[in-house]
Amino acid sequence: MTAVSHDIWLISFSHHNTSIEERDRLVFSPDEVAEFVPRVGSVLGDSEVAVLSTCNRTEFYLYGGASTPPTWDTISPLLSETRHIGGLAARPAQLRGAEVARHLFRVAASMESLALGEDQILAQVKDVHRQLLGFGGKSPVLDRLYQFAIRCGKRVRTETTLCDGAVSIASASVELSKRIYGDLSGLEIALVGAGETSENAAEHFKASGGTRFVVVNRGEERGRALADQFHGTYRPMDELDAVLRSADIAVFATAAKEPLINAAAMKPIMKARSYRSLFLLDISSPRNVDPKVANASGVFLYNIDDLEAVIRDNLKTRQKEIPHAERIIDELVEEWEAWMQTIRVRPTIGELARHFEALRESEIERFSSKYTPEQHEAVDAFSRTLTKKLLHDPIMFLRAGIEDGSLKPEEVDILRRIFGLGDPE
Amino acid sequence: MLGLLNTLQFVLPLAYAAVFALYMRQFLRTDDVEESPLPRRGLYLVLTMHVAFFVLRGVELGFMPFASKPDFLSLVALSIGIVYTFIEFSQKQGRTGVFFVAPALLGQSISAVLMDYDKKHPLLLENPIYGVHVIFLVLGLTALAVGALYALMYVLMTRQLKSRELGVFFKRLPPLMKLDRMSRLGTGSGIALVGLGLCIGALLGTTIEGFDILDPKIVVSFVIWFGYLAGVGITKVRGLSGDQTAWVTMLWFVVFMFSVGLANHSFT
Repeated sequence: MTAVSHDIWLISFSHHNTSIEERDRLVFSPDEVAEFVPRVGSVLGDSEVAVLSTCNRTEFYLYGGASTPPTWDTISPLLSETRHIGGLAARPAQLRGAEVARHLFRVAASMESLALGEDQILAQVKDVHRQLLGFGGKSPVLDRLYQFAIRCGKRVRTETTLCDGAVSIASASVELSKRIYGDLSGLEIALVGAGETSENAAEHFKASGGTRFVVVNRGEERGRALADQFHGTYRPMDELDAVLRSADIAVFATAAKEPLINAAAMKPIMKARSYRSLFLLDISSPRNVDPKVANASGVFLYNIDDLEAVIRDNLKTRQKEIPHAERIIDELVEEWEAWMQTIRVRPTIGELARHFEALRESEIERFSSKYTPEQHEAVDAFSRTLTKKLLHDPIMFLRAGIEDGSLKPEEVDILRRIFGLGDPE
Repeated sequence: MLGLLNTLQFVLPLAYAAVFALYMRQFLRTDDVEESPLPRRGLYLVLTMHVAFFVLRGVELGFMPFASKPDFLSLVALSIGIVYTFIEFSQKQGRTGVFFVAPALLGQSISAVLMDYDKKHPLLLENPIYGVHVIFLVLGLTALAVGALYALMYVLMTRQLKSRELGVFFKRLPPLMKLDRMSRLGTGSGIALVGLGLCIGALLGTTIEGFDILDPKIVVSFVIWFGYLAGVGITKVRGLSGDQTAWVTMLWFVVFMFSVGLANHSFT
C-alpha cells in the first residue's frame, strides 16, 4: 500500500515574488488549465490540482498523491513541457497545510491583492471552483477548500467595509458623481479630451449607468471615434462653453497647457444653466480648469489631487478593516482545520478496524483445527464481540475528538504507533 | 375602549422606538446594498396604529382631540410621521428616516406620559371643519419644517463636497440632488397644506358670529403665507443654485415661524 499525503500544498507566483513579465508568461487560460491539471494530477500520483491564475498571481494548489511533498522542481518540468515555460528567475512561495487555507482565504478576501479590497478576485476564485467541479467530483478536498474560500470572501465583503469606497481615479470620479446625482442614467456626461484617460473614465461611468456622452475634442477624428464607442455625440473644442451649459458632469482630460475654462467664463455658463449644479472633474495635468471656478455657486470642482485624497481616505478606511477581516479568516481557518482533521482521522478509524479484524481472523484460523464446527462458531462470535468492545474506546476517542475539535494530530500518531498501523495510507 | 386606548397610549412610543432603531441601522450602513423595506413597513404599521389611536380618542372624548398639550404633541408626532412617509415614498429614499422618527418618538413619549382624559374643551373642537383646519395647518407646518431640515442637510453636504472633507454626511446621507428634491417637496407640500388650512379656517370663520376677516392675526398669517409662496416663485423664476435655494428655504421657515408666533402673541 502506497503512503499518501494528507496535506494541501501551494506553489505560488504572485506580485510579491515575481516580476510582471514573468507573471504574464505564467498566466493560464481556462483551456490551458483543463489540459494542465490532469497531467499534473497523474504525474503526482492521483492528486487533486487547482490552478488560480490572474494577472497578479499564478498558484498551484495540490492535495493527495505521493507522500513526497510536491515542489516547484516537480511541477516546473511539466510546465516547460505543456506551456513551454522555462528558465523562470522567480522562485515561488511554497506553503503547506493550514497556511495554504489561510493564504487562499486571504486571496479570496482580496487581502493579498495589489489594490486592497478589490472586487474581481472573488469572481476569479469562483471560476476556479467551477472548473474544479467540472473535473467530475475528483477533487473533493480542493472543492471543499474553495467553498470555504468563497464563503470567506463573501463574509469579508458583507461583514466588513474592506471593499467599500473607490480606489482608482476613474472609480472615485464615478463615486463622487453618484453622491451628488444618485442615478447617473439620463445625465449628460461631457468628456473633454478623447485620450485614454477620458476613455477609461467613460467606461467607468457607463458601467455605473451613464448613457449620454458628449465628447469635446480638438481632433475631430479621435473625438468622433470615442463618441461612437460610447454612442455619444462629438462637439469641437470651440463649443465647450455651450456643452457646459447643458452638461451635468464634465470630465477634463486634455494635454492643454492653459486652463480651458476660468471663473469669468463660468459666470455666464452658470447663469444660462439657472445655477443648476455642475460637477467638474479635472483629471488632467496641468490642470484644465482654473481652480477659482470652484468658488462659483452650484459648481463642484475636483482635480486629480482631490481625487487622490479621496482614494487615500478610502484606502485608510479599508486598512482599518483588516483586523476585522483577519478575525473572519481565523474563524474559517479553524473550521477548515477541523474539517481536515476528519479527513485525516477517517482512514485511521478504518485501518484500526481492519487491523483488529485481521488479527482476529488469523487467531481464529490458527486454532480452527482444535474446535468442532459448533465450538468454532461460538469462538468466532465471541471474538467478534471482544474485538468490537476493544475497539470501542479508541474509536470513540477519535470521533469525540473530531466532533469537539480537541483531537491533536500527535494523538492520532501515538494511536497509530501503539497499534502498529505505520504511516497513514 | 378606554382599555384599548390606554394600551395604545403606551404601545405607540415603544413602536416608534422600534422603528427608530430600524432607521438608525439603515442610516449607519455605508455600503451600497439596497435599502431594506423593513423600516418603511414598520413606520406604516405605527402610523396606522397612531391614526387609530387618534380616531378612537376623538370618539371617546366626543370632540377633536387637540384640546390639551399632550394631544397636540401626539398630533405633531403623527404629522411628522405622515409627512416623512409621503416624502420617503415619493422619492424611494429611506436613509433620513432616523432624523424624523426621532422627534416623533420624543413627542409621542412625552404625550403618553402626560395624557389624561379631561373632557373640558372649547366648543369649537366639536366642529369637524375646525378639526380639518387644524390638521391641515399642523401637517403644513410640519412639511415646511421637514423641507427646511432637508435644506439644512443639503447645505451640510454641499459644504463637505466644496471643502473636500467627505465626512459622515457625505457617506450616509442620500445624494445631494435627492436632498434638494426632498427639500422642495417638503416645502411645496407645506405651502399648499398651510394655504388650504388658512382658507378652510377663513371659510369656517364666516359661519361664526363676530368673526372679522380683517383680524390682524388672520391678515398677518395670509401675508406671511403669500410671502412664502412669492419666495418660492421668485426662486423658480430667477434661478438660484441648490445651495442658495436651501438657504432661502431655511431662512423663510425661520421667518415664517417667528412671524406666526409674533402675530399670535401680539394680537391675541
